[in-house]
Amino acid sequence: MVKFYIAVIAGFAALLTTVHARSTDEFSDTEKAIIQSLSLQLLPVKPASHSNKFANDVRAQQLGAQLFFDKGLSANNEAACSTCHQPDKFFTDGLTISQDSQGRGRNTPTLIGSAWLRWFYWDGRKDSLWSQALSPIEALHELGSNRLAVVRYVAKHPDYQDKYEEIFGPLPDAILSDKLPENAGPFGNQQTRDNWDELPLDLKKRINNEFANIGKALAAYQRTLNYEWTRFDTFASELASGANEYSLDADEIAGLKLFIDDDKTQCLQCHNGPLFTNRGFHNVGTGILQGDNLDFGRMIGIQAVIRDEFNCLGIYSNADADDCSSLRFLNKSLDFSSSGAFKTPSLRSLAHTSPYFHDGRFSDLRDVIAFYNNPPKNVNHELQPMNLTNQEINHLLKFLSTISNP
Amino acid sequence: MNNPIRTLTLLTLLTMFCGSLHAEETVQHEQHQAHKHEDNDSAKRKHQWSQVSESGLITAEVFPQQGKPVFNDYHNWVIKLSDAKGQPVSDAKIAIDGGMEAHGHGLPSKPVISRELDDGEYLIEGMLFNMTGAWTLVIDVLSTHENARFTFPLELSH
Repeated sequence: MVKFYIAVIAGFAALLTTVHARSTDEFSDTEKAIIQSLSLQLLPVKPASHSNKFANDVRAQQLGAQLFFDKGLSANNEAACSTCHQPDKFFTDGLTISQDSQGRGRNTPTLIGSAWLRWFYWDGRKDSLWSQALSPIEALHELGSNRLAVVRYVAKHPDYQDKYEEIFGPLPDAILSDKLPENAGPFGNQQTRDNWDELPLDLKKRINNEFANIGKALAAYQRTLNYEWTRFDTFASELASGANEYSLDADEIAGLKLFIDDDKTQCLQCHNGPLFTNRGFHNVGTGILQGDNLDFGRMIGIQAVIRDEFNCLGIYSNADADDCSSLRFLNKSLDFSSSGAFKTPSLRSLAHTSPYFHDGRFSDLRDVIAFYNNPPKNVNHELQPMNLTNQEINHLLKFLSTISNP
Repeated sequence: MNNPIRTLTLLTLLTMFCGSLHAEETVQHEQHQAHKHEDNDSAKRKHQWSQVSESGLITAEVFPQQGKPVFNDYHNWVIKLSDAKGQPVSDAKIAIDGGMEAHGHGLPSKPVISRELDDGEYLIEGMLFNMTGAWTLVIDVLSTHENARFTFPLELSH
């Protein structure tokens, strides 16, 4: 009989322990609120792309998807957008820096979730997805083509022409004229640039307009690339509903608690919200401000986006000036805030987007955490040492794995 | 389970267990209700900052137009200027700056005064906070009363 009572009491003790371990009491109200703020469930609806009136046009999305994978857009028919943004690598290329960039490029960021971003490129030199999509087409070490060649390629393509004109309207005859040179654009080799310079201004504007449309179709497709629901999101829902079972184990939860603890890690300062990024620019001491291979990051990006003919306030944009918030309220300070600062990347799908940082300097997430744990000395940056133990680092890594799917 | 003592023991333990859960729920429910009543007023007070200029000639009050700061998105604030007699200060020129001292950076945006909404009330467009923690809002006012600088410490949390 004594054994029976002991068994009953032990059983209830175990039950109470289990319930407590799985109860929401493990988290303070603040922690619960922060965890919810990180969940995909709280992801706002896709922001309107005011400068691209075709952003949500299904026909533009379909044309954009075709163009995205078409190597015919490149000068040598060997590269497409998908060369660097590979779907099976979460729209990255797995390389330290972009292919063929001869040491001058940066790491290829994912395109997933880009519809929610305000700035594009690591330095934010573009203020829309469509204007970003135009640059690689004319970049010497990417698609290496030029705007006239690409516009004519689409205009004469048996599959694209009708689709294009159905979305964007008739292509001007002047662009199809045989009297025009084969290549013309403000970038590229000397002949291409000279050809461009010789074109009349109104024709340049027509070409630019059609070129912008190609970017708008590409952007319409890229806007459809969304992040997937993860184990962390399931956990956040369980926590919110007071579930008895959690999808995260004790180590992952310990890592989550560290991640949201501003006193210990400050991760959340920049990697906040459902996309795990504040979409801003921060100086973590990775800029190269002297010597060779200078990279001032945001400082150059600010000046570039102001001058970009395809920005939100430009004539190829479909936005009213009032809708161009990022440019209207652009902080143009060329100081510590911008010098050597780079865009905060999302941490979602982190397991699949190695290597990390704007220059791809780390291929192992453990090295990234080690960097933040003991940030560089004698370099200006915003970081404070985290001083995490090895066990805490392991917990943090385990948590980060929960915002990637296998 | 035909032993009455066993049955009684189990029932007692079950009742105690369920009772403790219910008691906890009741306390949480009451606390929730109490918080709810305080919410509106305290939230409004929590997100209003007021300061008198060094000379005492102007008082500046700043607050988000929608009642509380919007995290990680552009939004509007209002600055209200009044003189020592509580009269509105109109036609002032105002500049907004600020940042996070702990991180050594400025505001992520450059807010602008777009118009005077009402006498002495000015609309600030383009406010953006993308980090929690201690922010400073620096507001320079040029007016017929005086030129003054107001420095508001703002603590933003989730």
